[in-house]
Amino acid sequence: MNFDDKNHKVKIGLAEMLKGGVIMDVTTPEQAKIAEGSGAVAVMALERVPSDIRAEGGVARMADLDVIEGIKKIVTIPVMAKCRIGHITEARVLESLEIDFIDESEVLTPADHAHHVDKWNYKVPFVCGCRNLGEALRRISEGAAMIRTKGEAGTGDVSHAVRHLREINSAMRALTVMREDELYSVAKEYRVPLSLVKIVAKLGKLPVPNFAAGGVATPADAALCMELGAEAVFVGSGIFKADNPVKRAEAIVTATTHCKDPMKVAEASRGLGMAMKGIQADSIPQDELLQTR
Amino acid sequence: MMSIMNRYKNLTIGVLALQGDYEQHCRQLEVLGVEPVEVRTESQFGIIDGLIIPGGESTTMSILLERFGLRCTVSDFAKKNPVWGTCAGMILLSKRIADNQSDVKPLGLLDIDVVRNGYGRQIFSFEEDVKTKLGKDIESLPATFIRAPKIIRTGEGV
Repeated sequence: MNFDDKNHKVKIGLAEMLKGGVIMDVTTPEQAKIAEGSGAVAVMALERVPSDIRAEGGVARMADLDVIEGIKKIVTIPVMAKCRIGHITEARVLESLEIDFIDESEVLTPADHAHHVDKWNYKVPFVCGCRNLGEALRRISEGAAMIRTKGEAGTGDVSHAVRHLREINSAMRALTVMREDELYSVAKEYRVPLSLVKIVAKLGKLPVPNFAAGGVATPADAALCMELGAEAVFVGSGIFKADNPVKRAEAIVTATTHCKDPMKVAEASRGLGMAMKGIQADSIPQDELLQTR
Repeated sequence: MMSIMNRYKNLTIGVLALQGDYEQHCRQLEVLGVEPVEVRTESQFGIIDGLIIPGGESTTMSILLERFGLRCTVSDFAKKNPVWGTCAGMILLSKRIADNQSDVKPLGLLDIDVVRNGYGRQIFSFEEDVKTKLGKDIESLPATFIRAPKIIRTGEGV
């Protein structure tokens, strides 16, 4: 675990460049073009958006490689793609395609129930989801260059992303006022290296950018995540499952930039048509939650 | 160093904060004793002495400059005040983007031509010490190239 490693620094550097922006899930080159035109800072290529995975069931895997190539050709912004948790080979394949960022994602069906990818051994940066600080630090210790909340993907219900953001941030604030001997117990509880806990205690934040994801469906949802300390926002089903994806995508980008200006968020929120219908995250049975993967 | 800091003490420098690494630019200005302002609206241009357009995604920044009606504001501001561009900021300042396949319109404030991602996609990003003629005592600086642009032409006096 070496945060001064040059290769790791340029991985985190790309995440830094995406701050203040919106990363949008896309399943076709046409959707990628719409996302780029709306002001997205990156697109995330995947086989099906999370709400479809939820509705249709089955095994969710890395996207079709021809679709990924098509998306890479049509946009100039960074292209990300999802691999299954622990699927070393999907990750290597995506790296060989010169993908800009890999999301080792709970939205896809996990390939390995015990191990995540050892992300230090790749040239390509990884983002991973988390629900709390312990999970975030475990992923960072495995080499993740960006962390995002898991929320509950495909629901259009932002409440779980909010819960995860609040949990992570309040746990980090607690670390900053702890005695040194207390940090040992935290490292033990979180199952992460003490050195990493000490870094967070000193910085008061993660050593990599911390983005929000999971259930963002409106411009106000995106602005809320930013207000709660997210440094950028991922939007999955929220755009292309809405009535007017073009206008909604633009509005979510505008609201993210102007998250501290309620007048601008209000203006962006007008005339968008219906948001995705969604499903209450708390009504989903425990064993069907994606976030526990 | 102290004399430099005193010289710049009363300056207010804006950092265009539409998206990108604007926070890091603000922190660095604070280290230098300069007051940074995150700039998102036209009215803020009235209170700043200079503007930094930071790194980030040039496509996104160009679209947002247009959407928020800031394109002319930046160009007008640049006629009388210093403007600095880092990475994506430099792309926006340029005369021409050689690889332009989308609708990114550079501001044309600096007589250079650039190629975006001139060193390749993310897996070809790197950090390296580069030689510089910036100061007498500084011969090289650590530089980070993340999906970085390449300058392929510089005009006279640049």
